[in-house]
Amino acid sequence: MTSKNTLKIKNLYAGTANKKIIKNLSLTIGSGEIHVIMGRNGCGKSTLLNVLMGHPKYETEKGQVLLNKKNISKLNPDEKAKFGLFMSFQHPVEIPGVPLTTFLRTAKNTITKKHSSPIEFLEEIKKYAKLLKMTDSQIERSINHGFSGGEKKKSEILQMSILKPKFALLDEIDSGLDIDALKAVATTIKESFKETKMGLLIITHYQRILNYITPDFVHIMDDGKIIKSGGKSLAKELEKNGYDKYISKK
Amino acid sequence: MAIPKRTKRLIDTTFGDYKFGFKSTVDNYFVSHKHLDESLVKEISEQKKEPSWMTDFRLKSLGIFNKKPLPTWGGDLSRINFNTLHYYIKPQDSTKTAWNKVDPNIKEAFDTLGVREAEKEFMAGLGAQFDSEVVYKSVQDALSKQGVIFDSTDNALRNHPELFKEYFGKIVPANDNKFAALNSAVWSGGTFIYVPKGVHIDLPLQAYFRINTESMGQFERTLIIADEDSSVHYIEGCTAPIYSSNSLHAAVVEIIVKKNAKVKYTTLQDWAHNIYNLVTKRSFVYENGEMIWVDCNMGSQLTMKYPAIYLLGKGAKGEVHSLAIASKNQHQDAGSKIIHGASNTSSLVSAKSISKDGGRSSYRGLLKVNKGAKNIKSKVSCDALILDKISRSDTYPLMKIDEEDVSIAHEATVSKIGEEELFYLMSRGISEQEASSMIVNGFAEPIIKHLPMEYAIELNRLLELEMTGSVG
Amino acid sequence: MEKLQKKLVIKENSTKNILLTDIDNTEIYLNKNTVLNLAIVTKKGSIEPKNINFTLEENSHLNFLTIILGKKNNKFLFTTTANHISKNTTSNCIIKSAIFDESIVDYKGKIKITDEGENTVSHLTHKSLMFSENAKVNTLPSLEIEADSVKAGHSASVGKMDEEMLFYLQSRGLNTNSAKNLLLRSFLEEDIEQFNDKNLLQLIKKELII
Repeated sequence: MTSKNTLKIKNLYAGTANKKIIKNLSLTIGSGEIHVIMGRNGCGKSTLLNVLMGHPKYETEKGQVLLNKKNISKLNPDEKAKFGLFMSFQHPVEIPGVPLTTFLRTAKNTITKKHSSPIEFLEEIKKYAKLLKMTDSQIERSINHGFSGGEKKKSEILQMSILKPKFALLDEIDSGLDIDALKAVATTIKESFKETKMGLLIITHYQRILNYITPDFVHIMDDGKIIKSGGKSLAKELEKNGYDKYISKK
Repeated sequence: MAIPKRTKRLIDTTFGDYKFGFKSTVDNYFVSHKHLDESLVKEISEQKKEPSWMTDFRLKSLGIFNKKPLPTWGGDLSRINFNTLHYYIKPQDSTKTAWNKVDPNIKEAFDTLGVREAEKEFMAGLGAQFDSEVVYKSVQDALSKQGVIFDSTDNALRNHPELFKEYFGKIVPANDNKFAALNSAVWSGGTFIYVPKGVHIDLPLQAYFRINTESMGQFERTLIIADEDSSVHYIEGCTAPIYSSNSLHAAVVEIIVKKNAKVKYTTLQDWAHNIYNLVTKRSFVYENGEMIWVDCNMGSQLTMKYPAIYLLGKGAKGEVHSLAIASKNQHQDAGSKIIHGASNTSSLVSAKSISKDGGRSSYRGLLKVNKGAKNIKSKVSCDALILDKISRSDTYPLMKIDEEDVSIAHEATVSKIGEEELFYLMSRGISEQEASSMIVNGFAEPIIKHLPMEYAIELNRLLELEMTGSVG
Repeated sequence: MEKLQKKLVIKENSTKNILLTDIDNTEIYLNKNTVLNLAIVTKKGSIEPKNINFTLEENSHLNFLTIILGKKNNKFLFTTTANHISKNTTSNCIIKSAIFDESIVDYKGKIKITDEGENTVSHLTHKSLMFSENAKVNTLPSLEIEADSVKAGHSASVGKMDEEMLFYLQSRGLNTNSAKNLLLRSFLEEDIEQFNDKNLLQLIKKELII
């Protein structure tokens, strides 16, 4: 099922009504590639992902976001999802009264335009839930209702595994996870990645996830744009020496 | 309000905007003249062949009605003209017990609403009301063998006079409020249920109301008596066709829950948008008894309804779960009234409201703890969802606490559909409209879960229907 | 400490900290970009009902705390209304009443948000602690909302002293009276930290010495 997809961000300028945050950012991600963005707090990493997914708080001022040559930057979030984009939220919301399974099945049927039977679907959920070490009762609840931070992150990866996007944007997937949870999440991401060869764009908080997932490309972001790109050795260097070499202290 | 899919589709394609707006032609057996006066009241009593005490009761109530002023709080009642309403219409000559003996036009109206289907599929017994008289009822053999009485209020007065007289008008006296007085004067139809000691009725009993004739007032009177250690669940659902002049529905429901008994009363109200729905519902709960009101209000032009629970015996419990949906030109003024009149009693009120397209929904509640009622626990929560700038939501929860040994909490929130929540669902490929619909259904879920499954499914679908066209 | 005023206007772009020791009829107008921290600590009841009315202009913020110590047969009959008539305003109204003897607290609090009140964040709370069989409280916190982009809520609670807490303190050597006083004090003081002004906080604590 491996087709070659490209996500091309060209000279992107974006921000809120009052503040410019992304300033001339360009980045290309292909299928089967794992990209990691690192940078100090406030450089715009999370904002970038939210802009890509279409959060109503942000406006795109200039530039293009091309998914397989189609400019998706002005589309609604649900349309972006249908084109194959997925974001794992940094702070997933709780939506009481809406069961996770029902919602996820609707989403899957909408995105894939296929109708899986409830039994098939349940089996698929259970497969990933097992990998993620989630309990049956957690799956049966309303969306993220009563979940701890770590459990919410697991729920995000569960959804990603079911929806099988072309490109997955993971916003600080490692924050709020203890050692066991981190391992379960990383294993599931790798399993999903292996199945679909999606393109991954990961924003990491602690870098710990890089102990389990080896990136192909590492980018450093500062003040709304990418200032340095390299391979996995760049990540190791940053871990050792910090950001000072690349980002001047403010 | 159990409407099978095929029926609903038929109604949707035929009627578009309002789902059940249609008129049947029926040969009405007797139509009362419009003027509300003593001769009318006497005529009604005569037609029903009532004992003299009831005629006196009616006349006295008329006097009270005339004296009382219209309430100035709540909704706008100024446009009701009491002299242009029909007060009594009897479409048949007697209550039919077999469905095939009912007037064919009436049958058709009910069939279209899927009422009979509901009985076939699900319910233990069914009483259906059409313009003031109960035209059809069926009570399963097992129930009547157990001594359960499930009949129209008119028949109950005739067939069980002592039982009737013992409780009628004792829980909601005629002078309680203007519309209780009106009902007491011209009441007709309604349900009477008596559950003997120790009898538990597992499947819900249901009835069905309709207002058909233009300018008809509906004044049904329901009386439910649950004797010690018994339990029953009663469901009422109402619809009415659309008319241009305003119709009035002023019902009274009286419920007695005796020691260790349990009563659950579920209402699904979806009257047409020209109806004034002014209802007095009250229950007295005795030692260790339990009363649960599940009240869903979606229709009518103005609803003023505050299901009340008087906890009069030690250990009594009460719950009110209410859902109000106010759309264009609608005002739902609903709530609850809980009186803790004995010690060790507890109450729970959970009210949710949704206002859209300029609708107004108000929660009006009273929580009272009388002096001497000790060890009281109560929790009230009301949440309101406002879907657009032109709609309105009010909350007026009054607490009157005359005791110190209490633990009482009340909270209310008002919000709109969260931007973050919408974005989250849309980022999973779900359209804005469907996402809004999911969130609204999720909001109403804690109330809907108290309905029997078939109604819950139907209400969810109706909520989705309401949501189409209100986003964007 | 300011004396009672019938009308109080908070000048544009300013912050005011006020402590009152009476509930009296007052009109309070918050101009654009203002912050009002108002605390009322009172033991004096009144026979007539009193009303405090707040009007909030664009980007104004109200922190309002009323602490009532009701003893003997003092009656506290009052209403407060927060009118949010403009956008981006916030109000946090907290009423705390500790009611003893035959004292009565009768409070109606209203949050009104007109359709101009976009992005209002407003909360109203009334918490009452009852200390005698003859104490009474009537409370009606109400909301009238006409705008949709708001976060508004209210809550009310009535109870008596938590027996578990009392027992805990006693088990640590405090006698009943000391324990009760400690719990009472913590109840009355628990919301004063919302005021950042040190001066105001000191004044409030002084008034609370029972």
